[in-house]
Amino acid sequence: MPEADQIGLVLLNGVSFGMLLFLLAAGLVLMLGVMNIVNLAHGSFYMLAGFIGIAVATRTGNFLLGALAGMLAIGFVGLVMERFFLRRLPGHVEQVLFTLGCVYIIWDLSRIIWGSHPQYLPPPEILTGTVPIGDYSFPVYRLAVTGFGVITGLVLWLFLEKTRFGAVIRAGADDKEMVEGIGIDVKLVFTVVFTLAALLAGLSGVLGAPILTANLSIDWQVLTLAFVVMVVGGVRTLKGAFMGSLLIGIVDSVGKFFFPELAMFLLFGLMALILAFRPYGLFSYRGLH
Amino acid sequence: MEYLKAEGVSRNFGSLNAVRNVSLSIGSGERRVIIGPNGAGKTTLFNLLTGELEPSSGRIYMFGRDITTAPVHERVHLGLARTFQVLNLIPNLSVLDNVRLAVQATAPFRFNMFRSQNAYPVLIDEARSMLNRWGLWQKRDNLVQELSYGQQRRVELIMALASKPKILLLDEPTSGLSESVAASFMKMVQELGRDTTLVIVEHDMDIVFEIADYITVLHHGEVIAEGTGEEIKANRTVRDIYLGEDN
Amino acid sequence: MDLAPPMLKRIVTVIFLLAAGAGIFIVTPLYINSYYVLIFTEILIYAIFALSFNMLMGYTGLFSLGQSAFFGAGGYTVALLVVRADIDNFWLCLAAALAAATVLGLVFGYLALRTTGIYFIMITLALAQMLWALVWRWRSFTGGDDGLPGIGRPDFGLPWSLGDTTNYYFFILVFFVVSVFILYRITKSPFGRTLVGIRENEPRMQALGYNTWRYKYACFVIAAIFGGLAGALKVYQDGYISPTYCSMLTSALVVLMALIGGTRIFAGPILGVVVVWSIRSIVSSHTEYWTLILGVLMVVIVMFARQGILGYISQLWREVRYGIPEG
Repeated sequence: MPEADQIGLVLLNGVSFGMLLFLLAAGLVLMLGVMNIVNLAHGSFYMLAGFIGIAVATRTGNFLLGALAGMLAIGFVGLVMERFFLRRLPGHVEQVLFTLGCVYIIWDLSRIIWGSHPQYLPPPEILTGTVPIGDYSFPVYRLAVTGFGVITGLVLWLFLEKTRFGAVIRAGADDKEMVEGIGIDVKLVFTVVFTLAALLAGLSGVLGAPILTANLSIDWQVLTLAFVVMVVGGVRTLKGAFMGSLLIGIVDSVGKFFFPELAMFLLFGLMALILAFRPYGLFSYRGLH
Repeated sequence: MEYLKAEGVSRNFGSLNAVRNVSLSIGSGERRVIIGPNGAGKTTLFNLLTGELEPSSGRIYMFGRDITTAPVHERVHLGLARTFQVLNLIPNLSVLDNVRLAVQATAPFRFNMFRSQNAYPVLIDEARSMLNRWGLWQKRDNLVQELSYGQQRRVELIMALASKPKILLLDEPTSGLSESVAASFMKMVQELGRDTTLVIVEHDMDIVFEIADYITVLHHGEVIAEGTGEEIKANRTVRDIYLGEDN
Repeated sequence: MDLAPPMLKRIVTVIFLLAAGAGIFIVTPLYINSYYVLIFTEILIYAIFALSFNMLMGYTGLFSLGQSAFFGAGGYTVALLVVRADIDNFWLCLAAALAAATVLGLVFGYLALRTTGIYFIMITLALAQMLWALVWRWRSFTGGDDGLPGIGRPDFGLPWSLGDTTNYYFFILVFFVVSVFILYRITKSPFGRTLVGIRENEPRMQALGYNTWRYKYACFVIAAIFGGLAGALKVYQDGYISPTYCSMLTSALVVLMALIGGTRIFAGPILGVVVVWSIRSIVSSHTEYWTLILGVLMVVIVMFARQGILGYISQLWREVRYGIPEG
């Protein structure tokens, strides 16, 4: 029977990991809700950002610069992808195929540039160190990431609910034709949303590097989990992405703690249950709210 | 026995009450026409009867059997068929393929994976007889989208007839057709005989009074009047609603 | 030739195809270097896989990104039985592999078909990836990242050893021909024609009286079975198994193969496999950039030649024969 502080540790690990997933899932939900696009390269964004962030951070000695570099680089990649390619593709199948191709292009380019070994990034100086949890210690950095995830969630929510542009995005998710009819440039909205999602993924990729390292299998790892988050939490709501990320992060952490080899069964079981009874997720809802 | 019956059927979409407490009862061989201004809930009612939508409340019966929650495809096997207001053919397939699939839908071998579809002559024979009857055999190898609008409307009807339905629901079958074409189309529909009970949504009043045994008038999702052609013509409320439309 | 009666045309076409087929598939491998025979064998195995995928994508319109799950299930069942349970009997292992693929197909299919469209795509991906993660993490059982080595070729006690590349090729050829035959028959059957109707207009098919879910489910399981067959044959070919069998790369590969050949024509995926696998063999023997090329190929095909090679040819043919079509 695990002790209280062990449980606390497992939960905290799960929550902090969940927040990283949330940054990804939020972007995916935005893209799916507003543009009806699934970006399979989202995990690749995360991975590439990690590599770029580490490269810049180690060269400049500045974590923040690394994070910024990673975020902006991926934002740029996302912008180019949407503006010049995705926009031209007629349907789901084509978009999925295109982004899938991008996954492999990004993967191999990363391998060619940075090699096959995982890369490490130490957290920024102010956030090093640990906090005692009973007999164990928990990294301060993970706490910071958790806090950051929550804040980002709030900011996103405020942006969508309280600002004019957020309202436009929500309206576009509900009814594209109507928004076009009002005279809003839907194409611009799409580009902004996609770029925003890419920026989030990029940021998440660098922030996650001290926790998960940057390596060549992280792209599918995080994308798969982000998908599971969406399936479980709800494919179109930010709330679902948040709750789902927490849940998946915790289940993943618990699974790895108790049955390290079979942790996947737990997640699979959860996903199967949701699909069997609520195929569109726990917090499914029409529109983006 | 009533062939098709709706009892207190309602359907809401959020706060929109598209259909409110509608009851109707259609008997064997009847020609029922449902009329009403746009937005009256006619197509929603149709979708409830055919199973594309589930009612928020109320029940639906066919031949005395409760089909309220029966899925669309099941109702076809019980004897119901429908056409769609907006053409709903199977694109990129030929006219013949469309009709063959329609005939096959109620055939016992429709799930067979081992024999070629061509090994079942009944499909082509039935298709030929129906296409000939409606003058489309010549066009059988054309893709459906290559046909004229009027021809496509005929294919739409043939596909519904393929299951030899006892009850046929036609949702604005003459929509988009010129007056003369619509009239001849409906004449052929009438020739279907009383073995087929018809429930039709129609806007053209000439056609309505020509074909209807009984008329149901919908307005804002409710039944506001029911009766024979003569009774409806004389009905004050109905006349008020249709003021300005052709009578 | 347009004056000849259709029956004669048909007979001539069949004879021609049989002759060409025999020439390509039977005679050629006897005279070429065993390296190329190996490639041929892999092409046949992937062709079975690609055809199974195309039943879902090309015929039913179901874009599954998780077919590697069944390929892997077939492969790992054989590998585990041979390596962990010391079971030598080929037919037993094959039957088990097909059974495993069937069960997985029944479970995954049921879950994935709870949704449609883009969600279906996502869920098939997630399910397959979870299987991959399971296989990858469960080192004690599946060998994890290192996989399981030591799977010998099946031994039927015949004078010809299947360890020989050319012999094994002909062994696989039998499975290929049988699979092509079965899948082709299915596409021509009432069931198969219904799938096409579902692809083009599922709601109307339901309104005609088809229980479309049942058809989609059955198709999913069929694709799973043949995917599992391909995986089982591949593991005997390779002699070892690794989690790559279950990976997204395998799923993506089979998608690209079907796409390049053309998903709307039965033989499209076969051609696609030939093209993709040939490119891969050339690229892999000279460079380390196959994955990059794979990605580029996918992007290029989807942007410029969505219908694939055979699709493009058939479009040209129709334009020549019937005049330039409208729209």
